[in-house]
Amino acid sequence: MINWLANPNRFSKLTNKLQIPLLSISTIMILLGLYYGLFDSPKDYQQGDAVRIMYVHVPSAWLASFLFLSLAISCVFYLVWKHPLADLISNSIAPIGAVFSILTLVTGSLWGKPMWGTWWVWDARLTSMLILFFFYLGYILLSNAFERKIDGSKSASVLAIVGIINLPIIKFSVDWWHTLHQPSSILRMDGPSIDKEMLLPLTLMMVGFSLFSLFLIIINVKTKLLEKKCEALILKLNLKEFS
Amino acid sequence: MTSSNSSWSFVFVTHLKRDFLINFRSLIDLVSIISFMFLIIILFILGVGPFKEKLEIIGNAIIWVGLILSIIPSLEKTLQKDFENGWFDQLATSSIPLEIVLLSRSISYWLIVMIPFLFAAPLFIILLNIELKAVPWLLLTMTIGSLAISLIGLNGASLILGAKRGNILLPILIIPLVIPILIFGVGVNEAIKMEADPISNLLLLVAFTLIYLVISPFISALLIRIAIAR
Amino acid sequence: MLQLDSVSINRGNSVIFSNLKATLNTPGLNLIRGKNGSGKTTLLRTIAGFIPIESGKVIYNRKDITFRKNEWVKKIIYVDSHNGLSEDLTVFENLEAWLNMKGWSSSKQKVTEALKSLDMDKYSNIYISKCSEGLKKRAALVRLYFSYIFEVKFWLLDEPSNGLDQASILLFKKMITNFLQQNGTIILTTHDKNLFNEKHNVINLDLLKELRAK
Repeated sequence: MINWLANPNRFSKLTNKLQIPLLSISTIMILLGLYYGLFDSPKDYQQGDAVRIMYVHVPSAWLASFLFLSLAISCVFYLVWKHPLADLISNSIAPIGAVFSILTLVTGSLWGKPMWGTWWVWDARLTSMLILFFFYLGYILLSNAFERKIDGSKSASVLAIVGIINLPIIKFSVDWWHTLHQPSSILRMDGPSIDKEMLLPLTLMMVGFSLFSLFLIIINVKTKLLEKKCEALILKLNLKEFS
Repeated sequence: MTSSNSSWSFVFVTHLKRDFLINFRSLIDLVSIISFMFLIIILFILGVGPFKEKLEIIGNAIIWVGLILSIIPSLEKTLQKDFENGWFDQLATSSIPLEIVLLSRSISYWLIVMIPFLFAAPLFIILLNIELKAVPWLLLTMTIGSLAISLIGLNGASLILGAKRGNILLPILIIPLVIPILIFGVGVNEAIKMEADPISNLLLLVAFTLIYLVISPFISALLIRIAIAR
Repeated sequence: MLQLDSVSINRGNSVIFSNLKATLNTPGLNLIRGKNGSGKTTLLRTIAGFIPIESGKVIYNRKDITFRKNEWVKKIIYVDSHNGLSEDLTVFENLEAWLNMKGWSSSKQKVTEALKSLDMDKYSNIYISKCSEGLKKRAALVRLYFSYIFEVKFWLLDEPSNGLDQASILLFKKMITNFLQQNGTIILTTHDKNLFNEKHNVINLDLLKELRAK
């Protein structure tokens, strides 16, 4: 089935049908989620209204991690099976994942200010997210650092795979580091235990973000496919001129 | 007597010899490797102030950071040089696996940094007011950690082989990989300082170093083969 | 016999060779000819095993060399414009390091003899960084001397005479003749028409590509 999907034309046809539904469903979910989250759900007795940032922060964090896993898997397909579409998918995922990790960091920072009075805390999770951002950044920069794009793709794919293996290690190390230096206070940024009324908006936001990302990835891949078609046409034209 | 000796150990050792010749040509080479560490230590001390209490807190971290910043750029430079002058092409015609050669490269770099460091260590220890009881642990963890850093540096350098201005990327690529080593390495020293048990940190440091020892040559060999095929 | 059997090589999105078929004389002298950018170096590096083949096979003695890389690389010496010399070592040390890398060990005497074959023994202790381009090229070509001792059957050379002066070219021509007499195979690219007088097989990449395009 994977090989079947690899045909760019089939991919385009299939995803054409998915595009509009994805965009509309995800937009509706996000809007609903925001409404419920920002207006309809309860305040936290401790953190007040600030806890509402969680509705953006938590889905972003989850998505940033999940997208990196997808990136790594896509890179494996590219390196091992030399799947042509896989490289395009990897390159499409990377910027989206990077933005979500930045979003996590920024919302974390905004959350931290009313909570602990500082713009940044070296909370174990935020620190790991910062490292994840470095991996995304490294992937994007590395894949564009070479004369020919293909060279960068291979190097960057190895980086992504090394990254996915390393991330749990880093998470573990940073947790360890945390307990090393702050044995007493435990800063936790995932807010209070989730109560029922918070679950709905949170789920809406999670699924909405995910579907939206899928939409963006599909659009990205199709754009890149079209670019490739253009390049091939130009190459043909140039060759014709030669002979 | 000329003979064909394709045993791995022979090539491993002679490759070490080559690296040593290149890097230890003169006394100046020996000094320049640790001069950077000196620079970092002295700058930090000047920035933080000569207060014993402050130095006690950050002393360990400074030495580790100095070590990382000394090993990785110079490793990257020699790898880049060998790539550009076609040495890796020649290595690809060796019947010895590239992984062995790269392992030898990491180890030679480890030794090239460690030997001067061990000589200069007393000076660092005095400058940073590190307690005597912590010294053996410091030397032990530095020895193990620098091997890991050397292996990680090899990986990082292989990732950017052939990239234009690739060395700008190197910090972003290296930081995530080196974090566990730094955390556990400093962890041991901190534990000693607080009279706690350093063994758990030490074991983790050793474990990760061993893991890198096995994985790193394979990853670098893969990347270098990709680089050669350009 | 060394055969290129429907070899296709891609570099990213561009196709360098598609279904290339050619036969090289082994033993013998094979010249790869083609315009600049036609893929001469790529072909040479593919035969050396550096560049992966998309499809097709390179066959030597009825065996596909891709699966016998270890044996194949023992039979070849590859020299191209990069020389593979470290600037921080002397001519002698470079040659020795290269020998060791190949898994060969040699006495100081033999190494000096090798240097003599291209009149390099007086430069034995000069650092490569202080050598001219011509000297560097000679320092690289000196490796070929060891072909007889270690049973190397193939020389893969990319523009070997670049930068060589007249005297060195004469010495190099002698090396070529000797090697061919010993039943060696040389595959090279060169623009120098006077580099060899022997009969040679020509692989003309421009023609091969044209034929295919038609």
